[in-house]
Amino acid sequence: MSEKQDVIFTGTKDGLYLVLNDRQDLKVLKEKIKSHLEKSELFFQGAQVILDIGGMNLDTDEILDIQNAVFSPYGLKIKKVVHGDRCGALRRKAGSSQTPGDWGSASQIQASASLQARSSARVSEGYVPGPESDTSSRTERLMPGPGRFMDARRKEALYREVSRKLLEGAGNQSRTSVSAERRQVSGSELRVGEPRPVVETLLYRGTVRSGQRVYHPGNLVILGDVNPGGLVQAGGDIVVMGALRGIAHAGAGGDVDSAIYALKLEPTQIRIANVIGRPPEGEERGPWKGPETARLKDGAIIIEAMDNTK
Amino acid sequence: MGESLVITSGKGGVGKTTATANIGAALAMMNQKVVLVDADIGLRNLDVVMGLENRIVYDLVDVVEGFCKLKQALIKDKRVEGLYLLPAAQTREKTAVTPEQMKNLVGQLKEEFDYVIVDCPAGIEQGFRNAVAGADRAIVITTPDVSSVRDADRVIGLLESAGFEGPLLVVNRIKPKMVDRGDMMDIGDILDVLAIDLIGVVPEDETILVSTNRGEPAVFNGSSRAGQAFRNIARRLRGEEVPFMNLAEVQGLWGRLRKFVGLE
Repeated sequence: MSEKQDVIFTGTKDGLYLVLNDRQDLKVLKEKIKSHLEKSELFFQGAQVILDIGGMNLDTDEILDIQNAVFSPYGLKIKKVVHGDRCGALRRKAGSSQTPGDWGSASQIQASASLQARSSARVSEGYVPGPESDTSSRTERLMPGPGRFMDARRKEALYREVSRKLLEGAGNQSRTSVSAERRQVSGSELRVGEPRPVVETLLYRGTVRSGQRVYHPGNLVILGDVNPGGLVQAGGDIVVMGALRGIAHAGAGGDVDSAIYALKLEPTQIRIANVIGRPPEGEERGPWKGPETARLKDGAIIIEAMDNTK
Repeated sequence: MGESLVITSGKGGVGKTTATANIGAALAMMNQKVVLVDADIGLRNLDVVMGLENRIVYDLVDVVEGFCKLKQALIKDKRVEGLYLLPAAQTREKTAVTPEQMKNLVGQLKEEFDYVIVDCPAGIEQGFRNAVAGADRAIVITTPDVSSVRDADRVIGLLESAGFEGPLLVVNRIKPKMVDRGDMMDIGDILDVLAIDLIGVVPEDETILVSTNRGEPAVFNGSSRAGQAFRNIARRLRGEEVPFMNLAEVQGLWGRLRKFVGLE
């Protein structure tokens, strides 16, 4: 292989698999990911990312920083962090359709077998161990700084912690299986209470017309109508101070607790996290019943009147 | 220094060319100096609707490419004083002209004329960008059906992002009887979605088809209701306050009598 690519995006059935060149500077990498996402913003919307950092050692802060500064603005969430072997990853891409959860050669699978047993069947949601011997030796070679080197076990605990935090943020359903691990690491010297991503609200003045799209990673308030053919998307809640006739997508990053509020709710389609709903067909729209809200309940979108006093 | 208007719709077949011909002719009848610019390069037909097809020598692309002077390409309409047409090329494509060139051209015409009215092609691609380039104001035409209103909405969005303030709306081919029966979107429904200022409502009228085929704008026909509606639009463009036409069709003697005694 000639020149190494710094960032490689691959789609897998588990989500977006992102391989970073571990010989490259983290700052440069972040910029490269950003420009990549910039180009394909819509395409990656709401995807879960498996971040393959190769032989790099990143601490909790650095990974949360990547999540907050690079991925959040595009509605992406880090699902897990892995130490992959880049060449192996590429071989796999070219060859079989194995998921990142069960990658690697026979010896590596052996090495990770014990870990899988420990963290139950949910291992694909948490930290996936890399080829330890290979990684640590490369780490030593590349990052000789005294504070950077960690032994394999501590590193494992660290990434478990990061993965847990990121999962918590994503409202992932694997929360129960992770909570068991939380007790294990709670006694460690890791800092808890990392700053959560700042949720900002965007006020958009004007009508969102057909063919127009308004996206904001935080909450979104539209001071006007959303017409048929228009699309409003937000990482959090969406409020339409007018008629919602187009498509609204709340919780675009996967937040199932997001809701959509509209003074007049007559949407073409409503999306919350990864659930898509549309109004019943063939039903005449009755007279205006007042402001309504759409939210997720038991995996289905329900519509309720916003005023319960009536 | 005159004013430039673009007449656009997004969807095809809603009456952009008819509206351009009629509004232009109506303004000329009000003693304004008007030039109609056909920006539909490759699919020109404003000249046909105006009945000036057989007088074309040079066209818009010839002017832009410097084969002739602007004055040479202008065709004077004999029926009314001060009405001119700049025809489109038929053998070329939309890409033969750039928005920058259109801007220059419309700028030159504005120095000579009171009104420069650009007939925009259907679609939102280069032809649209060309037609819109030199315009000061935009008139959006729609018919009372959902697809046309949807396209109008898209176009209004594009116009607004191109910096147009307050495009004006013309609702064309409305059938009052169908609206009364609830079979057609009414003006209120359309304005509810598009939320821009209404400058005219033109009823469906058979005289339009006849006048188009004859190459004679309906505004020249005193008894055409559509012609009357276009004359009203021209007056509103000039800043006059004109009440909207009563669109209810004349119901004959009995109907008028019933109305008179208050039965309807």
